[in-house]
Amino acid sequence: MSTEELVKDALGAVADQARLPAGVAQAAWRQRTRMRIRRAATTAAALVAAVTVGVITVPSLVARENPEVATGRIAGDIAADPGRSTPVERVAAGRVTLTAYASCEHNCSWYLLTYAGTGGYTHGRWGWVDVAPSGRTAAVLEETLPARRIGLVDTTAASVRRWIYLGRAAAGSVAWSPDGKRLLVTTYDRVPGIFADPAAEPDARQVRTGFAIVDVESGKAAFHALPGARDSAGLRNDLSWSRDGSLIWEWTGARQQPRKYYDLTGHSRTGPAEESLSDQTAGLSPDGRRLAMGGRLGSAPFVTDVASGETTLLAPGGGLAITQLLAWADDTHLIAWARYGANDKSHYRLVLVDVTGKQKVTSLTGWTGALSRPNWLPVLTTGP
Amino acid sequence: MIRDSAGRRAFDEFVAARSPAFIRLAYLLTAGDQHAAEDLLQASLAKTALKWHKIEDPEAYLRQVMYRQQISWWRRRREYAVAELPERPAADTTHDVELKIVIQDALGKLTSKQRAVLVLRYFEDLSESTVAATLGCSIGTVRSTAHRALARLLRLCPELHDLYARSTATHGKER
Repeated sequence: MSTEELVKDALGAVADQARLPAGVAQAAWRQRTRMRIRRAATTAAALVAAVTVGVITVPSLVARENPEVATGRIAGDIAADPGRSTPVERVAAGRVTLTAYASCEHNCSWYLLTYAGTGGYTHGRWGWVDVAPSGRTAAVLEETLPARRIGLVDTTAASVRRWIYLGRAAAGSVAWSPDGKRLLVTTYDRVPGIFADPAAEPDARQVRTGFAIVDVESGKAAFHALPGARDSAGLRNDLSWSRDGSLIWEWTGARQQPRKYYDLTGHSRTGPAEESLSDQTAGLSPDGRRLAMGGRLGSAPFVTDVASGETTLLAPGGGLAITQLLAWADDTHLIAWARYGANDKSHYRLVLVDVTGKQKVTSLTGWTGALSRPNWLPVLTTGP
Repeated sequence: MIRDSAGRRAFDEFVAARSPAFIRLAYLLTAGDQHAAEDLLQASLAKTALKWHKIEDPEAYLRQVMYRQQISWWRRRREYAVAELPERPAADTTHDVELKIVIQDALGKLTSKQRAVLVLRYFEDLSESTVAATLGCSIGTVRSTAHRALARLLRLCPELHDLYARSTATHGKER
């Protein structure tokens, strides 16, 4: 008998001690579903355009009565529409304005905040909307995705001012750069639905193909292949701008490294120190002192003090759970999804949470019906 | 939905047929830690299920995922948490039982890669080229790792030497 044969026998003898657990196939399939739900949660969070930077000037041009709620603590105004599950009147807090949203039942209907006529959110036959930091221009994709051109809508006139043609590139989403001069277009051959069911069998063709950076002034686009991870098939895998607009990033679905960064040609790059650790869309506070994190697996999200590492769990009580941290309204207030009720039959609304003291919660929109997750997608545009 | 349920049925059949063999592989890759082996098998099967409809050779894919998953856990922990081993049996217990424990102990002292090469090459009887493809390295690396892993195993487990000597002596007599 050779040494190899002896080792084989010896290994076989050790392996004989292994016991096969019962129900392994079922347990593995359940874990697969959880993995897809985790990725879906991160990709859904990525859909919120919370990184456009600039001053929202348009609201100040409009002479209309806003249902403002006085708190005296937040820097800037609060405008809310707390009586409606999807708002009709302008919603804003501090530096952040809800500039558009998609309301989804079987299909999604898009609403854009305009300042023409009576103003408020008006329906348009769009497939995707993102609003420039100035608030004056919206980039829109037409209803049937992927789209071959981007429309630039003047929000004060509520009309398309110009089209940018993308040639062969098939756009699934578009995001304004923080300086408002470029557009980041994520491309797909077939575009996954906004609220695709992560437990369903994925369509393998629904995978990101890459992205394009469009110079808005010249209308020139540079395309780069950046295929999405294979296990993201059937789920949105849109790319976002980094805070300073020098890099782009995607959610990975992993807890250790939640965001993966690339340069503007698609080469992998190290992400900014604190920002890249956040698994919440809100990320780093405007003053860079607090990081929004956690909450993916049902536990409450929390805020970490960057300097001391101290964490504050966001659990305001009163039967209300904070589920997703979407954007920083100022250095101490977050716009978030709040949930009321049990997991499968919960009601959701957008709220403003003070992360200091008693974690005061201010309602920004009304409760949804009983759902397993929110059925509308906010587009939040953030000022400096 | 039809596609999903058909996929699920095929996956269940695959698991029923192959998981007895794969729990053995997982057990060896985790150096005899039953709980870690169960976790490794389940996590790897879940990843296989994610790509189920695209995989041509589920067995090869699962083997590759198991190895990579194990390496990734090992790297994250920096050191592998070897299962608590029982005391060595007293002198009057059978030689086989003692050898199992000594080998299991020695496996835990190998690096994750050395263990994987030994297991895939000698336990699973895979060719050097298949092992190289599974581990994503060259055939030369497989050969040198196997050589080093075997030497280390024999050093850690001198009982194998004795067994080898006895075995060759017996063969010599038979001839």
